[in-house]
Amino acid sequence: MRILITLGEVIILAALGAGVGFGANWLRGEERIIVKHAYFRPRASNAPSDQPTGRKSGVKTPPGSDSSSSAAAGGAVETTSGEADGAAAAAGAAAHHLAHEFQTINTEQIEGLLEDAEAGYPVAIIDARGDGDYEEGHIPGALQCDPYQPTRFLPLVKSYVTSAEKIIVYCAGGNCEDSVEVCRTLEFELFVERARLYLYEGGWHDWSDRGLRFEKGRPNELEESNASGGR
Amino acid sequence: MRPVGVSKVESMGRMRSIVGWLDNTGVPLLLIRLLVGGAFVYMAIMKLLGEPRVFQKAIKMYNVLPLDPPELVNATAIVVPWLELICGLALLAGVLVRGASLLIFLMLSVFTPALYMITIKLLNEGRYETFCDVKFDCGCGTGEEWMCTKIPINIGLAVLALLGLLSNSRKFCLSSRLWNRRKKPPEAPPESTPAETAPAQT
Repeated sequence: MRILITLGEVIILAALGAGVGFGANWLRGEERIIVKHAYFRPRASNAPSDQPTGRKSGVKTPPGSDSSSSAAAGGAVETTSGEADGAAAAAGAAAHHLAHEFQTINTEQIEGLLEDAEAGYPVAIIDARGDGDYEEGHIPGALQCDPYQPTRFLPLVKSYVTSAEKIIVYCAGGNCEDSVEVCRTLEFELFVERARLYLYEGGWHDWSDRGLRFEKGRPNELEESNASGGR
Repeated sequence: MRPVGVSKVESMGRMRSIVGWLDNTGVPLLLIRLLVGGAFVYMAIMKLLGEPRVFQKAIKMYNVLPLDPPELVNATAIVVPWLELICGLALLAGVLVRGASLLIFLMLSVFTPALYMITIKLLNEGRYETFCDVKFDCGCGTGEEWMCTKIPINIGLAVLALLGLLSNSRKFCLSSRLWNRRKKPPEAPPESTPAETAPAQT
């Protein structure tokens, strides 16, 4: 009898929890968790560069890509990062534990691409962080795409990435995996070719710790960002 | 000379009666309810005030649920913080005490071994040197925590929840007051005098 009463209490509490939980989630609007959305996709098994990037310098690109020539140099800069403070060094060291199937790009290569973008080279930079972090500061020209608000950002980002030859995705850096999730979402939901996707493992921590230029706030119009080639 | 077995039975009987007496006072259950209920209400509120993504990432990190289909992970991220809050409030108020204790015990029984496995995995990867060096955000709503304190605290809460489940007392519980009000006997009718009740004589 006591067992039955206890089970009945469990059912009542579980039903209450589920009802209140789903109701509160619905009230969150665009920030709600979409039950059917795959926020975390498993790593693709047919990755061309399917090697853990964690053990080496964090710069691993398939042969023949633009960044391969400076991979060693970029790797050296990222791993030594002598001028960076402890946070960047820790972020750089911790970034080595991300396992993913995408090409990586380093800070110097992004700086070079930003200069190319000024000359009209179609580059898209995607910031995978939340609203507050993005508005506090982001790489110049970066558009926000929070993987946890897909209905809000994927439609905005779609035209931005369609015309870009290179799409660079970053988040905070270190152990942050949000950039990996955005890359997978772009690949599976917007059908972006993997060869165009580049992961900036150092992330915002690395960029800001080097004292590089950045933008604050939010771009007013997506068209402005597209017209300036992602700048 | 008394056989040894009899004294063991007697001592166990005495122990049971002491435990029973202690339980009947209602104080141990009250303390359990305040500690466990309060802890869970606090952690639930911190989770709900924060971003849902933190708990979603924690569920993924625990690796106890499959990522495909995504409905399981997402539904868990939606329901569990509210379930923790409701169970914590139920314990504090003293209603549905056994059900809340059982649910809390079950949740802790799943999360705590998962935390331990993640800690061991991080140690094996060489990211930390000793067990007490391991610190990360477990999605509990309280930010990064040292695992050598978090895991024992969770075990302690699980034990207390189990004791709450097994307790027979309902003193200081709202449920017992509500129950007693329902069972209050109806008022007795006023007593009638012999002159009124005697049948008329013909």
